[in-house]
Amino acid sequence: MRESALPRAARALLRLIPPRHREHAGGDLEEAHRARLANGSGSVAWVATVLDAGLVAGALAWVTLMEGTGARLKLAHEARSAVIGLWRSRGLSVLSVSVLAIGIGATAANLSLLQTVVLSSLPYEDADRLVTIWTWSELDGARDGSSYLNVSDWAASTPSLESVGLYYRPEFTQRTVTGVARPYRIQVGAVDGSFFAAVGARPILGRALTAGDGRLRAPVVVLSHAFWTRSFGASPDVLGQTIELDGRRRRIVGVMGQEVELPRAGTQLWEPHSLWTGFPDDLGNRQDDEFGVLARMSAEATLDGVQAELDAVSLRLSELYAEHNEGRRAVARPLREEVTGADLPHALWLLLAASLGLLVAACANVGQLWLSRGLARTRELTVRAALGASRRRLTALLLIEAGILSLIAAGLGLWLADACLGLVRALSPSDIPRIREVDLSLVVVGVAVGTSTGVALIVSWLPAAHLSRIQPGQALRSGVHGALSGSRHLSRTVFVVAQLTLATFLVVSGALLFRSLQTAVSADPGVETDGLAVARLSLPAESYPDLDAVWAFFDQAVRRVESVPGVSSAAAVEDFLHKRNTANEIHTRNEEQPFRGLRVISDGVTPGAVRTLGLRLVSGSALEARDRWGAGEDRPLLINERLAEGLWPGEEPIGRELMLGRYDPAKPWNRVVGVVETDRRRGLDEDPIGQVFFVLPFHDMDFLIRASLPLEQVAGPVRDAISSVDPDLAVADLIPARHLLDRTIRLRRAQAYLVAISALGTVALAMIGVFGILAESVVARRSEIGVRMAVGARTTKVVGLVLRDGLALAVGGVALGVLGALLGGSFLRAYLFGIEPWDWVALTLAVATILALSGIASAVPAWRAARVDPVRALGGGH
Amino acid sequence: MAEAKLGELELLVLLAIMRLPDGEAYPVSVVNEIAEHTGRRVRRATVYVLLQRLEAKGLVSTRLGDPLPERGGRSRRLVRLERAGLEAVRDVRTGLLSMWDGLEARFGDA
Repeated sequence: MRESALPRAARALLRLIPPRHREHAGGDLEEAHRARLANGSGSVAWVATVLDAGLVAGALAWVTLMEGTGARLKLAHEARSAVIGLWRSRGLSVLSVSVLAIGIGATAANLSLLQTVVLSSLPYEDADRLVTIWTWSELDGARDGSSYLNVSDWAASTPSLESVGLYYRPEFTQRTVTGVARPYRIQVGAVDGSFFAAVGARPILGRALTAGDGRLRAPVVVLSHAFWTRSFGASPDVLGQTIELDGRRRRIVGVMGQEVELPRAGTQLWEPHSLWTGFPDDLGNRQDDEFGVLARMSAEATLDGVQAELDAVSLRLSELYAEHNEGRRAVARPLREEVTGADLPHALWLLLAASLGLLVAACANVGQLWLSRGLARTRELTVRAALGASRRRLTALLLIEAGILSLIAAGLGLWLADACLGLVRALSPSDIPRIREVDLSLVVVGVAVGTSTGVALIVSWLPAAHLSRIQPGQALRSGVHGALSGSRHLSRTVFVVAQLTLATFLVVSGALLFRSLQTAVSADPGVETDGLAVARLSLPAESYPDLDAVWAFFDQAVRRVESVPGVSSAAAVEDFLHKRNTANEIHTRNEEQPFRGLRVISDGVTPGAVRTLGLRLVSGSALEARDRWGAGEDRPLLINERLAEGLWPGEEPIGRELMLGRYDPAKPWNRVVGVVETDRRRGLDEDPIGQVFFVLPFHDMDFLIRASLPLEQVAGPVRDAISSVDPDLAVADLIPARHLLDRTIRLRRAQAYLVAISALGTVALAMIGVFGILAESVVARRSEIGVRMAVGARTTKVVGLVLRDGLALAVGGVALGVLGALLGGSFLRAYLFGIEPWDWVALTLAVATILALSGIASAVPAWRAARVDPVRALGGGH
Repeated sequence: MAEAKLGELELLVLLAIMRLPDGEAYPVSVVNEIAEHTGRRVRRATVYVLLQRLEAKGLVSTRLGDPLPERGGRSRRLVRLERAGLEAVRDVRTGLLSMWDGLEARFGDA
């Protein structure tokens, strides 16, 4: 059977269809959906099919319900009345649907995220039994990998562990696929023979890696499903074929299923760890920390039990091998925690709570809107009742109206959620684990439909209950005097003011975050970003055994790239974004004490780096090819102004000597030959730190070009120029430097947008609240207004009356909101950059926005009040 | 014979069933057939309701066909016109034809 092509939401709706009809109607739906997909865009088809599914489900439920009864026509009649009623108050209908859809959409999207990323179990057999084991150092509280010998001892002394798999830490294991037209880098897993047994994963083709592969250092690989599909078209004949990694042939012995994404997401293939680790010669020590451990607990074991066994063996090892094991202890954690991280679930729960709050507010608002609509319709409904419509029938009418609205809202909300999740999938690359699996689930669709059904019941019940308390005769005579009790009005007022307060607070926060973002974006990055682009290059150690070979490569590559028309200069730096670790200890010659607390990052570069980056030389001389660090004693350095000021404030730095990191009399001193301006490559919103440049390219470098022509014109020739030096080298795509720098503030950007979106939603709800309460009071005060007008009050006066009420609400809410923002200033400060939490621009903007919008929200009820006809309001006509 | 009157949509559905080859009449094809000849987009949900009504009146009968891969492995609800259905359509046709009779001239230059 082919897999269904239907959207999940549609499949969920299919379940609402009576079983008798599900099969063929589902088939029809599927056929129609495929036709829509063939004719147009996916999202249009999605919407059409989900709506279609809703209609079909409704129709067939109807058909089943009405089978053999004559009730059909009556209910059809009610439904028609309901549609007419909704159309008459279409403004309100659209408003209610949008409000509910926003609430349902936000909740559904967040619930799906939480469910996929946090709640659902990992896609492995008995995934709850999988643990990772790390070495914790009690001295500095740091988590490390483990040595081969320690892991072997752990495995031997923990009966609660069924199998213990081992992998070489994945941050070190990348390879280049060579022997193809365009070599490229991939993430590989370097694992031992027990790894797949521990994961509980069996190959879908061939075999997994064995202990024998490890012992023999066998040149074999097991492919991931993704790699197999992409590079071999998922061909079953792949076993026994070879691929070339870093210029060496490997035989393919197996293919893993899609679900295996360990030891890290994006792993393309696995090979024996012994190909990486100098096994077994280099592993006979207990100080290396290059292995990660993934183990499977036996069925009856608990995490605490495993930990107790690990504690015992850790203690023994620290006694036996105190030199490297003292204060170190093995700690087991569930694999799920490792995959998901600790902070993410927290953040997602918070988001869900926020969206649930939004949903509750949305429901309250819709309920209020409908109650005021119900009150406004009291007369219509009482007339119907007086004419003989049964109360049940009127309730049915109200129920059908609400049902139609809430179903539309549920559909729209699910569509919104699906669109949001699509965005989330597209926008968050590898940062969030399992994010690509996120989709609307049955549970979420159920929650959406359930919520809107609940809302439908409540909003239709409220006016109906109200109706039953009204005596037709009295209502017809007197309109709806006294329909609003004082206490209910008060509680509603408090609710609206609270919404306004929250809205003001969020608008202030959003404005502050956006001003911070703006400050960060316009911060001078130091480097000249126009025309600057970056590509990562990794020279495999196999083909470049020493730094002389590396130097020769970059020397050639820079020369050839600089001869490409449109490229004005080229160079390589160790790490363009400065993401690596920093040293925080610096020694200067002739001074006893090291400098601490001044963070410094060092960058091995090719000679043209400072020029290509566009950094200004403040004093001294730039680095040349002859400054390359070699066997000799001379170690020339460039430092940035920041470091110069930190080390020798007000003094001449040129000619001084320094040493980074721990002092070692055997290490040569480094001589400062020049000072360059300070840049912000670490992050546009981070304080710059000290930096040193020296001429010494390493294997892994960021290749820089500065182009005078558009990037797309030079990218191809630049790649060809680099490949002409080494055809087997993987050349990453050139990325504009500005993109990379913008990425350093993407969290800030995401925060600003998230808060802005919640602010928008809350403001919209608050305005609906203002509108609702005023609209209701205008209806309730119709007679009073009529009297005022009859005794000569002008229209402007009546309008002013309503506007004044609206403004009073707004001022109250805004005052409290601003107060909250000022009090919460110190909390906000942590998220701000370059501005104070009581930035007057942001505050003014927020206050003006809320007041203006409240004015607009009050305008419609005011206009209605002005149109009250005194004669009709007093004479009892409608 | 069935005494039921036929609504306009019911008539269209019955005619569509008659036009479609044997074993090819099911809700999707009925919708397409009507659209092709009249330009009217009838909702499939409506067709389900109409078919139910027509079946209750004994004018058509339905059965499930074989599962088909292009429908996600689901089968079609195939519709067949019953004798009573044919008679109902014939009655409408006779009535309409006699009503048209003599009116052709009025459409000549309209």
